[in-house]
Amino acid sequence: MPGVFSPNESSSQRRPGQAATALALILFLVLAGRLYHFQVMRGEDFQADSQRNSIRAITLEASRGMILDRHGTVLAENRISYTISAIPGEISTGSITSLAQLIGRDPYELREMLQDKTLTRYRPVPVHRDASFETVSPVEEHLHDLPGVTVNIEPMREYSKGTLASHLLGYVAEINRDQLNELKTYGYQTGDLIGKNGIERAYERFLRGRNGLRYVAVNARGQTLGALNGMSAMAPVPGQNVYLTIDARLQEIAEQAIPDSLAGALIALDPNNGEVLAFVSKPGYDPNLFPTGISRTDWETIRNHPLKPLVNRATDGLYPAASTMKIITAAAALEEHEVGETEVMAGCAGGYQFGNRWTKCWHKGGHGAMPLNVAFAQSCDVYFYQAGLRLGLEKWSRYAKAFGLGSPTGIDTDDENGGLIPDMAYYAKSESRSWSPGKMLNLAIGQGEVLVTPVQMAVVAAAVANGGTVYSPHTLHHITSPMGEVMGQGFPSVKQRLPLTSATMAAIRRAMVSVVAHGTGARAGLPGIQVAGKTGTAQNPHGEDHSWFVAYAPASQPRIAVAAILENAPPGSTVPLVRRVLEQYFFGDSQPAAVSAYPTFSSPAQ
Amino acid sequence: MNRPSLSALFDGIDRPLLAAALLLAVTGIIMIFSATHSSEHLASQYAMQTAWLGVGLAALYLAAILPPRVLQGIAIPAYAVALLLLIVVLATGVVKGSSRWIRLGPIGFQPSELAKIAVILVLAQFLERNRRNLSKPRVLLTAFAIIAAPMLLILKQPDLGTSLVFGAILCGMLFWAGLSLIELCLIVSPVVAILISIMSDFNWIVWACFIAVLFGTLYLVRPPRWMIVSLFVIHIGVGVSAEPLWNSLHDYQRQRVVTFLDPEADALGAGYQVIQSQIAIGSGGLWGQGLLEGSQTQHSFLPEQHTDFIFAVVGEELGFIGALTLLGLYFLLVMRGIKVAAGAKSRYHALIAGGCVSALCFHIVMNIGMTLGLLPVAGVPLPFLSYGGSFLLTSMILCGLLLNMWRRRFEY
Repeated sequence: MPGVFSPNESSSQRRPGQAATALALILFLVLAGRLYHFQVMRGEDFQADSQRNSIRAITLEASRGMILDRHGTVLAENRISYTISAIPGEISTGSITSLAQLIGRDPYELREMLQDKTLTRYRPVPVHRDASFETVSPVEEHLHDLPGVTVNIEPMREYSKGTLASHLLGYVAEINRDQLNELKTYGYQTGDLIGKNGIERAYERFLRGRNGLRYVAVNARGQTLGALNGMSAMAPVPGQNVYLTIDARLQEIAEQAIPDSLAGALIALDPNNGEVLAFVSKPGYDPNLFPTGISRTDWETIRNHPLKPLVNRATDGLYPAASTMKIITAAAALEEHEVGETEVMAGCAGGYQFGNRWTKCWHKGGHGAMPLNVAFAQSCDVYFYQAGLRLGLEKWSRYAKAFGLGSPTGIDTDDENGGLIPDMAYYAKSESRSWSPGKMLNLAIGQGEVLVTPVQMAVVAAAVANGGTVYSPHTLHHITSPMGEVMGQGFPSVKQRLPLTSATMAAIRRAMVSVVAHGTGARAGLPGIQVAGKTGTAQNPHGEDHSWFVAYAPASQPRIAVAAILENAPPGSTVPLVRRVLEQYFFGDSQPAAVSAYPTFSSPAQ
Repeated sequence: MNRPSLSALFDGIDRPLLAAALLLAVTGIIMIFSATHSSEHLASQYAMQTAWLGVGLAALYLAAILPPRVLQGIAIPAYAVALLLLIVVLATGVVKGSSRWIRLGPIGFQPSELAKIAVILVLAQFLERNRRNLSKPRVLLTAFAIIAAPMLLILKQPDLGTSLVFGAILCGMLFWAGLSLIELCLIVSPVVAILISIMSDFNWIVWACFIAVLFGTLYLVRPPRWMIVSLFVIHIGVGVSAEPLWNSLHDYQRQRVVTFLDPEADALGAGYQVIQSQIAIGSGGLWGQGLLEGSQTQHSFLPEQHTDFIFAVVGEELGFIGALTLLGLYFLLVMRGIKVAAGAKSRYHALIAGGCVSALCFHIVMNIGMTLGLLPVAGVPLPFLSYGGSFLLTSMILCGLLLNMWRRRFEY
């Protein structure tokens, strides 16, 4: 054929009209042929399917993968439930009213929901999930008079251990409109359940599986006549099982050790790889309330609870680091040679004069002159005021950030708070806060603007324990297919390394040992296992102070690092809590609990 | 002769073309009524469509009388306005995840419709001016750039089907500018290569076979050397980079492409539509179930039955006879359009007519092919039949331009 690029190829005259006509003719003949094939040759087949009957696609819900602990204890699974659904394009206003009565819903609300124009008209919308047998049977009975209503058996999420690890697991609930718009291309549809937070959200794409599909014939009234010949079904693919690094028993002990009247958090890590062994935020809530659609009264109860159970304190709770910050101030001062390990600092007389201001130590009587070890064990504020002043803001904040504070830890669960470590840039930018050298006193003991999360402090304890590696904690142990084949594994993820010499590291570890050996953390001591730690009391301008304790054990070759905080609790009250967790970790259930869950407080500790 | 009077209009009019267009539009209103009358909130749409037909007739008249110099004068401004509006829709319309509409009071308007007309006008002018340099890479690249701007903006909406029509317009107009069908095939071959790579899961043997066929064709056609070299370079580039590029896309981006190429994979969405559409058409049989009697249509088993899948309503209610008659009307429309282009007085006239025919033909074949399960579900409406005001307006303007070019075939 002649053209622009090869004009000399042929001498015949170009006739674009003929070529175009030929092309159009071919295209239209193909369409007409297909039409003939469908309507004349196969018309009767299709008429049999359609003249009085029609096809409907029935979604076969994939069952969601299970969530288990590191030993295979089931934390989240599925049970059988009845779901009553309505097809918006088929249900009449009258039927909506009858259905509303049968399932005990407000008819106006139901009508509004089903007549929403954005719904796909032919796809069933769940109107009552997890219906009881008492609700289902009258609906089943009247199904004949309720065209457009279906009752299906579907897997329903169940959190087998109730409130256990509720903040870690998260929950599933019906997908909302924004998520639906965003995720439509992944095959999500109205009424689907989706992980809203925690592991359920973080590992949604593994847990979810893929819904299947079955075509059935229905008559003009929408009643099912049976499976359809020649239309293949697509089997649902169940989701994958997620094994977590936590130990359900350790988690349980830790949750029980925090009384229900208190709010707090506890994170236990394996310092050697960043695995999360326990992830506690108290009070918890029952995630089983959400998959079926939480009732208004339940929602109000949870929301109006004074201790705010929905807040994930382990990764979102922001607190002053308080005296646990002294780990970092001490490490920085030693590393920068601002203080020597054995140097005896000017005496504490119950406070410190800086400029024209007298800043108190927690111990009014004063600690006297002492070296680092003693100051650390007794948590003397005055010693650390001086160490902080010698360091200055820039060096101090650099070390605090090196320990992973002031930025998210990178834990694989859900959103987390990064906390705040102020530096010069922060004060320069801030409109309400400005820098004065006197602020260093407060920062050095973890007060002032400093804000940290419990998981960050657990990472600090783990970094000291393992000799200087700051891990991003992870909760994923491994993932298996429904058949049990291992599909993937969680792995240690190093965020950064501490810029500390082994001499500094060793000095800090000695100081932390002395806290438990003969200091403010003495009650964390275990028989035969050396524990290292640091207490803290966070000043709370809104009420009672918060109690901190971070620890690791055994001191020589650490296998567990813990950070715990109790809100509005007496100083030192976290020490026996952490001890209970360590005890469970090292001795298991064989050893009877030596310490009662929440002992009385004898001596104040800072 | 180009005095805009009514008698003058009917003098030089191509009656079969006008008759086909009007018959189709009236059929459209009847079918929209049939598809929607049983639904509470859609039942008034046939009236809306009738009102739009009135507006469309006025637009058709205007398009049929405007002298070519006016068309040339408004081409670039119209193109600029269309691009601007497309950017505005993208920037403002984040409603419900899809941003194709500009609202003027109660009337919704899709800027992509204006873009179709504007692109035809601008390309006609550009190709006419460069008709002797068509084999130069610069000219071809500029032509590509002219369609690429609206295409990419519409792709971003995202509306893959509508963006493809610009490709069809370009191919059609290059053809009327003088390229042969085989040369057009060579130009689109890299796109085909990408699709083949994705569909064959990057099997290099399939790709190599395609390249062998391509270069066999090149040997027969003997295009200029720069063309062979650039095709070679492009194809090697596509072959090497397709897989890494594909892997660098986000999951959801890949999902979109896959769903487009294989709607059955999305069995609850597009696949369901195709199955229902085929059953509706099939059950129409030879004579159809009768107007307002189609069980699939009347019980709303057909999704989008008054818009993208309206041909299935015709198939079910009017049967093979009705659907074939409709297909015949469309064929008549296209044939008359080709005739206008082939008999046009000048290259410019031929190009305008060619662009209009390509746009119409693309919509017709793409839509009916999709309804019949031959082509992927891309959301392309059927001219004159599908519900939708701005698209009816576009179809009428395209016909108006064809009538215009026909009237002027003896003008000097």
